[in-house]
Amino acid sequence: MSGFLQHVVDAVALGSLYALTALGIGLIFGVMRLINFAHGDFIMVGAFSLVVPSSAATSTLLIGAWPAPLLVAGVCAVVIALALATERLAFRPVRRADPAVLLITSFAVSFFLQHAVIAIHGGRPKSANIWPNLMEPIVIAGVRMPQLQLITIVVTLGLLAALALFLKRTDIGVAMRAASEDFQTARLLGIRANYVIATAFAISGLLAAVVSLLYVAQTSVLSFQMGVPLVLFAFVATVVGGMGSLAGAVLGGFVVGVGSVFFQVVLPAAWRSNRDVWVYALVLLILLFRPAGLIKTKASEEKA
Amino acid sequence: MTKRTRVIAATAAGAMMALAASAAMAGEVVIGFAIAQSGWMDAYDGPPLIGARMAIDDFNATGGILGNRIRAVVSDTKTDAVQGAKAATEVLAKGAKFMVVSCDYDMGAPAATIANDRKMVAISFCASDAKMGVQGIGPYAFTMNTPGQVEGAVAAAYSWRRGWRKAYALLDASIEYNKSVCHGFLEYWKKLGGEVVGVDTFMQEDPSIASQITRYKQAAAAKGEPDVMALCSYVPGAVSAIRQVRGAGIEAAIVSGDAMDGTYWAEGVPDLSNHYAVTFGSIYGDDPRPEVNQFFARYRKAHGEPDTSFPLNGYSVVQAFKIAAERAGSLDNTKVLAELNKFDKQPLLWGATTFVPDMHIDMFHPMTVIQIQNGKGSFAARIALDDPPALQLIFPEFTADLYE
Repeated sequence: MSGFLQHVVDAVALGSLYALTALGIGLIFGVMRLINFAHGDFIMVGAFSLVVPSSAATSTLLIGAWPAPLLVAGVCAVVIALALATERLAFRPVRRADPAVLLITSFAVSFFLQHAVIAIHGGRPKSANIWPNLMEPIVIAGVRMPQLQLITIVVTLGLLAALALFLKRTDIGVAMRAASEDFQTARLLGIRANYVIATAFAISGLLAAVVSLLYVAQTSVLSFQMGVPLVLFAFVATVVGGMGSLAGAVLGGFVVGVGSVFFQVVLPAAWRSNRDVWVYALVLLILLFRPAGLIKTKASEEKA
Repeated sequence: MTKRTRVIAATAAGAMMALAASAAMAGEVVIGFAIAQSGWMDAYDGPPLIGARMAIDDFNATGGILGNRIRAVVSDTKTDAVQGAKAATEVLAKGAKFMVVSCDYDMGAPAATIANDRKMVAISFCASDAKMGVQGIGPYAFTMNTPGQVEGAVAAAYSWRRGWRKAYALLDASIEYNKSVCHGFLEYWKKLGGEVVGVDTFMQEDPSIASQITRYKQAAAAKGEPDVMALCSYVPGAVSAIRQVRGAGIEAAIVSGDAMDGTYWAEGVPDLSNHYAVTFGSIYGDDPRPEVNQFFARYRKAHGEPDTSFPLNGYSVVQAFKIAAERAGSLDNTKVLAELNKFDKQPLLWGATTFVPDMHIDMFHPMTVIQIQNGKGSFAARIALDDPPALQLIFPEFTADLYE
């Protein structure tokens, strides 16, 4: 029984990471109908901000050496600034363009950020050790939980709750929801597009910063490509969950994370290296029955 | 331009290229390096290139090859297969007589194929795949490494020597090299009579290996705590795995292939102990071969701290060209090839090397085991197998009833 509980905890922790990333993508998609493939690179830049910019093979901690509250604030500040800058410089000029143009722009931003990091840090992956004591497990009812897994789950739930409150109770939050549903009408009613979109990017940046901290604390990896697999799974999660729905993005993230752990545990050894094939098969199955994703939104219904 | 002008210009350009291609000035031999100077492959091609340049300086000081001064021309493959082919044609246009290609079969194959088609010897710095040779490219291709399967087998031999008897294999299934290391380890381990407590896989980019750790603990509870874990992966996924494994309180020794050489990656696992990598030599000044220690002392002075022992292979590639050409008494590729095919435990800086006409990868090469204790690297052992893995295992299409 404790084995099963253990797997549940593993699954929920991984699902939380994917859910946070998917939420970052879902927020931007909601207000701009843009799939921000550069979101993974926001995470990557956040991670690299922990170390001194240098092309040496070993890394020296910069922000990573600061006490925890400053560390968190520092990385959040860097990524939020990056997100806002990207919005202002890359996406705002093409905001009214074809969705294909927006997509290509996000690829261009992604390419730019990755190569900027290669130019500064070199192409070789590095390692940054933050909060190593979080790797130590605590045992609750026979279930061994690295503290970091627990923190991941708690932080995710906290952020989700805070975001839900923000969207329901604050003016800007309500404005964002309105803009997600029908951008034109929202603007006609006086909601300022720039302000809403910038806020969406800022929150997306915050989420990316949190994911980057959790990821580096877990793996210690700094690699210019580290954001790519995360954003890929997160994108799949938003599609599965229902594009345009924030709850859907979160749900999709958990489906992908739990599915991934489920197949890792259940598949026989010879098939386990093809685990992702099974995860994607599950995704296809879900889309077969719910083509618009698990949670339908007005946006997707209009399109249909 | 008029048509006539264009024709003249084209002819002039063609003549200049032909001139450039054919001379290499008299008294000079050009070695063309079609390798990565950017992209992630640069991490594996850069250090051997430095080693090669050191060899070129050494040999030029004593007359070069057969009295011909050695000159290196380098073209960046940008860690891209298509660019790799272009890089090869570029170094050929610059007069390359011999070619050196990237430290990886997939990355180096395009350039090696172009060289082989021109009956030019091409040696890979350190591709650990037997396909970088006669069977995969052609009779003129070589690699200055052992197969991944041999690295795995050496890891198993070392583990056995240490008295470890229970092993666990954790395979990063993302590239063939990793699979070859784990296959080699498991096959040799079972041959020695070791017990396999369990096997599992993960992917390079997995953000979490919590499930794999859970499975490990369950296997350990059922069959006994493993003494050693064969972690068949590469940086950075391997670092992530080691951090999580040690963080979970798993203290078993960890053995790996040459991808885990060095300690530059160990920031993420502070005070790492009981980690062992099978590689080419010790960069820490304690290799039993004085020439290796001298080499790295020189390297340190000129280029700073070495990250890995791969420069030894770069040096050895140029050495191999020189020795073969001098034995042949000629720079002619066919004659140089014939001499390379006769290398029998030929002393080179990275160790005694054996090539035969149908194996251009050294199955019997002595490998060095490097250990990391408390975050510091040092020499652990030097092992040469006289019963390396069977050819059936070396040439893929051999799958796993090693995993049941």
